Amino acid sequence: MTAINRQIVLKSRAVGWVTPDNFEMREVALPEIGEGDVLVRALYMSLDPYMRSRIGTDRPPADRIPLGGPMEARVVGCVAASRHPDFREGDQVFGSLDWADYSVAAGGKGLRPLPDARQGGKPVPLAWHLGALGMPGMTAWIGMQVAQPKSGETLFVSAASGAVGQIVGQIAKLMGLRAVGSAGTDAKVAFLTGDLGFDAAFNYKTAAPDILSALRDGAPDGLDIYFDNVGGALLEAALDAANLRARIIACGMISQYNLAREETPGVRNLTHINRKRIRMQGIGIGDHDHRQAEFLEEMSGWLASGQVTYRVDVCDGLENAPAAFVAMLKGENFGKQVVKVGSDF
Amino acid sequence: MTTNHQIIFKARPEGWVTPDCFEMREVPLVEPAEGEVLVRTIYMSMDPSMRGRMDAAKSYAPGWVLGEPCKTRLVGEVTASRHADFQQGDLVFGKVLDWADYSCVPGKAIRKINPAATGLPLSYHLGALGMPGMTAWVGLDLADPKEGETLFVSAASGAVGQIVGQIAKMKGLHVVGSAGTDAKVDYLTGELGFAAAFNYRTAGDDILGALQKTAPQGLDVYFDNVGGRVLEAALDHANQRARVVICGMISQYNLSREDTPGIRNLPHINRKRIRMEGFIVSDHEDRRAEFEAEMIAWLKSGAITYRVDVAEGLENAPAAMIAMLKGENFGKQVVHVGAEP
Repeated sequence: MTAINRQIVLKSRAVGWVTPDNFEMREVALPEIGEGDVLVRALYMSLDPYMRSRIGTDRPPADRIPLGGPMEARVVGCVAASRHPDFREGDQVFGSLDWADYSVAAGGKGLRPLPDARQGGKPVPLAWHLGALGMPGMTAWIGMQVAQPKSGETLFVSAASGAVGQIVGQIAKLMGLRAVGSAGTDAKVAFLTGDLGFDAAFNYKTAAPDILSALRDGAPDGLDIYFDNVGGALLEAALDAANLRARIIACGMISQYNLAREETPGVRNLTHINRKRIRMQGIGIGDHDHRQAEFLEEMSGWLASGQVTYRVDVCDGLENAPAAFVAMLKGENFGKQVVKVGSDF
Repeated sequence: MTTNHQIIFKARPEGWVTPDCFEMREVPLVEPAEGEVLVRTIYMSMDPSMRGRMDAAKSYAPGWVLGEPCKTRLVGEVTASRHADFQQGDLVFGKVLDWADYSCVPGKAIRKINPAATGLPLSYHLGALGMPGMTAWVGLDLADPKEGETLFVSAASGAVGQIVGQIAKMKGLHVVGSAGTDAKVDYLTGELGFAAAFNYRTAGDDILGALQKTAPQGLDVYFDNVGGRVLEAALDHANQRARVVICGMISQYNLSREDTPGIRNLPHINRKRIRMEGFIVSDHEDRRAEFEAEMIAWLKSGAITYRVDVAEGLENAPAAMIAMLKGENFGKQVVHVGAEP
């Protein structure tokens, strides 16, 4: 065990676009653990768009990462030392921990063992526990339930090759919906219609400014569900293409997170919500913790049978996490973004 | 009388509605054919939703046809009937009748009303007891309000807003309203008993500040009649798990897409797990009897009061509609076309 721990801390609060300069690597002494605590060595760390709101000023101060404090992430790791009866050295665990080589889970709080999930008979890649089997997967699963999909309906999901979008589209297919996705490169679009079996997909960057036409080509019967991960111009087009009684799941709005209010091109056609009786619902999986076991069971089944698969984009090295985070916010990742912090053995 | 005056939909507006969109026409009065009824207009309703009838785009109700009479909800008196269910002298309500002295319609286009049984003003059938009242009643139900919560309603002295605030108050909510003149604001906190109200025009750029002052505990329900900047401020001030009921967005109806200042803070919907829902009262027609029973009791007991703004004369209907779209009415806007019997 090294005596030194590397952490990435928030150096300055982000205004407008985040840059790697908002973060700083710090070396600190490896902490001693007290009675009941668990020391976890990070293997994979999740980078998620919502983290942008925790380093800016949009959230109430209590929800923000404090300046100089370690960044927080969902982590898959290995127990390095334990004074907690439920965890032993060498256990693989999931927890909400620091952007760091090592973190202390005080009292074992938030730590849980990894579920036994397999595909093709072999354990799924560890990073999937941060994606398909983690918060993004459960977000997709909950969001799809809130959307009340019916067989034969059309679903559109933006950021469709991302952490949540991949799962949304594949669940929609399993439920008998027409699944249409948007993504920001032709390679992602090919992945959606090829590997994931989407019925149609388009590149929103090359389609701009006429996103609505691209959407109508992919969804000639209009949209019954829009699973929104991006907001902005795509939301506006989806409202235009929405059918009567469409459901919009407001999962995320990544196109908006780095814009000041004054710079934001607002959504100008919300009158459709009234005229088309649209229900737009924001979701947060924190409201659905009690359904975790049910989710894991269903998702594990889909993964085992190969009905759902998952693409991960792995960035190597803790020191590269800030750059990977900024790249993800710009859509440069391809699949769920994780950082490989340590070796799996 | 052998002639009929109609107001014809003459030209589609581009942006704001103008008097040029309308034209008064004198036509011979037709006799009802078999199955038809001739209705003499008494009060005509002026509703913001009519602005949507003037656009070429498809909406939930059929658009007005150029060269044909404008359509509206109205209450009137049967002057001739060739339909078994109606006879001369019956008071009736219809949803899609003409802006005219008389409409000749199939019997299924109207239903009988009995204001004598309630003692309530005839015009209430276009307001508190009609579409706006039921819109308020249904919309508030969708918002799932709970005692002790805070509700904000915009266009609060208008046809729907008055009812929303008064029902919410009866349910034990802290009720805050916005309106466009100080007199309307006084009416809200005075006669209607709102806990607080503000003038969104004088609040100007700081609508959020006005909301923070009048609803310091944040918003649990926003009943939106206006959209635009007021909606943006309401999203800023919304609490976790707030419900936003989209009833109308009158501030948007006369703007082209390019001229519309969009809503820039929709990420709140995600972060605060807000449910934002549009609805149309006609989807809830099966609940009419339940609504009428409850509303009639409230109106008769004085638990709910209702303000109507009456414009005199069919010829003034276009001006009344334009004024309403600008918020110049005070209370539910109707046009008095013909004498009450």
